[in-house]
Amino acid sequence: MAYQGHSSLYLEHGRPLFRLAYRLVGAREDAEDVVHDVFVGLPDSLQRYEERGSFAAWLKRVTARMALMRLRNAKRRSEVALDNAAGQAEPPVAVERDGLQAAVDTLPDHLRAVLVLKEIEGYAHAEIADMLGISEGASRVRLTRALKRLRNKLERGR
Amino acid sequence: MTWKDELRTIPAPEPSQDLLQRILASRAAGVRVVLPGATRSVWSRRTVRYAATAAILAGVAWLGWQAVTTRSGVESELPPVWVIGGMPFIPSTAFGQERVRPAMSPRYPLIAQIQPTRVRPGRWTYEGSTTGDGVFTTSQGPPRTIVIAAGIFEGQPIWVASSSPEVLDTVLVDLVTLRPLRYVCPMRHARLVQHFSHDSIDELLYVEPSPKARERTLRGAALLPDVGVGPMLVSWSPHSLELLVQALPLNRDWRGSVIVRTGSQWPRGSPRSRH
Repeated sequence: MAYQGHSSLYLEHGRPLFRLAYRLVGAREDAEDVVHDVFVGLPDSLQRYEERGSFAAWLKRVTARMALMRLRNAKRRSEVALDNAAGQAEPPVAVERDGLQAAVDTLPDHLRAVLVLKEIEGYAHAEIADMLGISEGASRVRLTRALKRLRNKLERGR
Repeated sequence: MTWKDELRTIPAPEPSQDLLQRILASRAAGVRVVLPGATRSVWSRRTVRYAATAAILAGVAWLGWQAVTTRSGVESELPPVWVIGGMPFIPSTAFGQERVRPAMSPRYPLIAQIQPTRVRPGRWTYEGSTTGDGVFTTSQGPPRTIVIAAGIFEGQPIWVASSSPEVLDTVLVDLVTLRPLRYVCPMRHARLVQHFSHDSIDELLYVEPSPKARERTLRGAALLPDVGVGPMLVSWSPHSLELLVQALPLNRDWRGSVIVRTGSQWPRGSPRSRH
């Protein structure tokens, strides 16, 4: 596939990729960093792209993987930085959100990732398992737990 | 509409207006990001799993057969667990095996981007240490010194990195990408010269002739893995790694690591001799 140039690729695919990244990482700045990294690395990665499937789907998978890597790295960083961050961290800014969105936001990362990839993005459990490095069974279990938690939160909210 | 359907309609914010400009500026500055592979490896994972299971079953069957066929005379100290037909279900020899430890992974996030602009000319001394199987060792051997100087090679700006006087090898790297362009390593009775292009490497090994022989030149060529992605180390030259370390976005007193992946297509064909 010939490289189209950043601008045209970004204009065509940037928004959906940003939405996917945002739903996975849960923060606008992090999602922008993910999309930034994807497009900066794209010209080189295109040389490995094999035209067997949809280009948009391939881009989405790359973006999802980048977002998941960022989530994992952020988790490690937060584990390391707790000692040093004491007294410096500010409480998260409260954002007024829709009930369903708020419930999704409260899910732990590992459950939210499966929920987003399966229920919103429509990936199969096998693909999710591959992206997350878990088994298909674990993916199904996580989805069940995520849905159960969401259902409980929504019922309590009524 | 169920709440599951509503999930798909949850609004997401729009990216900033300047995101595209940021991307273009990063590319222009030579920033490189290695993206993760996006191939679907589900089937290959399954295949590996099935193959591993089959191998384990075959191994257990073989061990069982060995236990049965070698039971003449000497009795084992550990009595095997017998099942029907006198076939040992878990032969005693199987207890001598060790579980394979999972592959080690870095304990901190990998650095996916380098900053070639952090490389500075001068004389730099490095203390080497090695991490193997998760064990971080102390300093190994004498400190290594490299000298970095700016230069021009085939019309483009480069860094010339030379090692300490003991080794005397030199690598020319692209100033923007830190990819090697040429590597020369003089040896006692030979000289290795490598030329790197964007997707391959050609090398010449000049071998000093013995008194009754003619001079020999060995020529080799290979494809490079991950064409154009990130910097690339010259496998035999430690100072190219030290040059790369300079480009890691690390702060003082922080530690980083470089994972080296070797190409699987090396060498492509056997070197041929030319007289």
